[in-house]
Amino acid sequence: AAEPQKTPGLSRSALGEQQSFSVGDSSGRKNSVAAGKRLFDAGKKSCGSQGESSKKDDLTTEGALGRSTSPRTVTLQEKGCQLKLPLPYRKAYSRNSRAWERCRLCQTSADAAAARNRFIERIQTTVSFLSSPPPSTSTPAEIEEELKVLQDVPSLLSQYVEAEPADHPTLQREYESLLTLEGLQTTVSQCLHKLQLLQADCAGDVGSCSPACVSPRGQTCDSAGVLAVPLLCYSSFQELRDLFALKLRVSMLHQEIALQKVMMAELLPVLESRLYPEASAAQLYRAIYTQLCEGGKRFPVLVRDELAD
Amino acid sequence: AVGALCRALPPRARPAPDTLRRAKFDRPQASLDFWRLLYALLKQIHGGKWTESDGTDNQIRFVKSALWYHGYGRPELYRLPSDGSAGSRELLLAFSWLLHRLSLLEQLLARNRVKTGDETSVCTCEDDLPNSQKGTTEIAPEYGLDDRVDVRYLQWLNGRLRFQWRSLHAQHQEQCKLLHKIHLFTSGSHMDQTLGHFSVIETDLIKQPENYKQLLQLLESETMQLEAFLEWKQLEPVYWQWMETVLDNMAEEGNMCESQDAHVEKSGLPKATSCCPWADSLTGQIDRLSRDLMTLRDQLHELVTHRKAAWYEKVKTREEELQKEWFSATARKIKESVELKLLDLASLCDPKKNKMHGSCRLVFRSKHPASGFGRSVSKEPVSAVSATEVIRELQMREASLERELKQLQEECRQRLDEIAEGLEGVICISP
Repeated sequence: AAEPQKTPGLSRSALGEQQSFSVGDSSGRKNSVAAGKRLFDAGKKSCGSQGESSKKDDLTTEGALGRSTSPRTVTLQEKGCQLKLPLPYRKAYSRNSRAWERCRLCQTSADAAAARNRFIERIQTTVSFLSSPPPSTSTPAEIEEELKVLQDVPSLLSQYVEAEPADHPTLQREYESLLTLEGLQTTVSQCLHKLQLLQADCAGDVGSCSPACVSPRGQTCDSAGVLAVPLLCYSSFQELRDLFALKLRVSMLHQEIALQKVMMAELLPVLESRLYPEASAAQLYRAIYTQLCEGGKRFPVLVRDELAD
Repeated sequence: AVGALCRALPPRARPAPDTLRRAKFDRPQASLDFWRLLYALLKQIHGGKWTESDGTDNQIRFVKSALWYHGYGRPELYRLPSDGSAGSRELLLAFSWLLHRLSLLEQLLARNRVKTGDETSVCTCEDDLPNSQKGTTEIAPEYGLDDRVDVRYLQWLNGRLRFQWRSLHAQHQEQCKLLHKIHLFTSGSHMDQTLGHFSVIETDLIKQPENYKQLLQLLESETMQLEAFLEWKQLEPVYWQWMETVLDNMAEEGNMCESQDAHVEKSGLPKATSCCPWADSLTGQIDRLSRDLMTLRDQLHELVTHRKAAWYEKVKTREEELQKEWFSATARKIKESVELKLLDLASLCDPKKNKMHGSCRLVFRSKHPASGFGRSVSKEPVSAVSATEVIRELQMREASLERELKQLQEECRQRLDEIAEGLEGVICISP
């Protein structure tokens, strides 16, 4: 989009109004002007080979202040690669990132690990835990984790099953397909077994369940990588847009599926039990059909079944 | 060591070292503070909103259930009174246990990282939905006095929902555009080469430099926390030894009589076997999953039996051919390749796989070598994830969710067809 003299894009949500960064404006914005001036002095050095805004800086600070008639606004586009953050910030930033790096690389010393393990062992053996001894018992947190992973399994396995074609050109292919299917069968039984174990664990833990059960959705990831800087790199504008669009789509689908299930449970019985006023049967049917089968977008056609006499 | 530990905790939940020291001697005054501390820390881990105005007994209940959730098993803790008047030593034990079990310090440091404005979350799990279950019952229907709901209201709601999604999408795209512009236009300016461009917050700094004091303070406080963490890591053995002395004290003070009480009191523990909502919801999930898997199992069983029969048929007619050496060799190879394929699948079902969760900072890295700074990136940050990977995963997720939705819709269609036969005088023609 051609936006010649306006500052394009400081995100509205994060930064309030979208104003142009005007350097020559002298009314009531002395501070920012002064600061701006300092920044520009600092940023005079030529920037990298971005090729973005390579035009020479013809906006000298004297010129800006002197020319109060036509304040020139500077776009981020022009000045972006020459900007420099204030020195105190830069210092704080580098101290900060060095500290993060040191923390990330920091390992627990052997002494500490030994002392810690001693303590943990003692606390675990001093008093017996509420859940009974066998090591297979998991904590509620672990149960939830395992369940989360298993959620995807049915659809994943279905995909594999469907990928196996019905007909095979050669004997070898057929053999391979058969073996694959058998393997999938084993996997399914293993998962079912795991589920049974989880169910048993769940029942075991319930005995000690406290009344105000919190169902926390903490984001507990692996502790090893926790202190690393979490960066997500994208390489083009399109990628960024796709990323956001897909995330939204996945959330939407989750919601649609949940709604679908609820609606099925609530609406179908209504039709099946015939507890509605007879007059509106057809409309009701049509509406429910649309909602449940077409996602609310397309309508079926209802035709009167009248025999021509 | 205790001092360093306290300084490494986030500012909102930072205890005074004395609280811990007093807790060692089980001083009742320290109890309430300790409950509050645990509440604040656990709430941060569990991502909830918290205010100090939450009542003490609510806080205590939350802490107890969170500890239970993570598998903490000392009954003494669960027996502590709900007014927070006693038990600081037990709380100290629980706190140390959490330090180890949850990597509490590291988790808190990571979660409370100073925000740059470029963050987005990466995980694909549906962790929003359970919370919203409570909300929907309040948005109560505005329908008429009798209990019926007009189906048109439902349709209208659905339309509104779709509209909201569309506007959200539009806003996201706008945000992308602006974010990208910032990243693009400030490329090459940041002193940190691995990033290469400014973040939203930093760009805002340029525009409103007076705000940078606050950011500076945040950064510096975080740096101090990190340094305290490093200090603590050095002094860690001292802390754990100190904790052992706490256990020693307790042992001396006559755990013997306590263990007798323990047997008696065990029956007093809440046997909430029937009314545990967590277990119920989990059982529900397990049941659903089991049903799906069992359907799959039956389907597979049929398929395999069928195929096997066909296979044996084929084999019978080609007996001599199969006796040949080359076939058994190929058979072995085929077996191996199938095993590999299934191993792939198994790894996807394994909870150990470290899926990315939490928020990441978006960084623009152009693929063009001419961008200049690409060369100077000597050490790659350890956990840089590429958007391409995430997109691929999301696409897979999208495909599988779409299939699930279609299956559900198909099921509805069948059931509705059956119902249609019962409707008099009407034929339904689907679109």
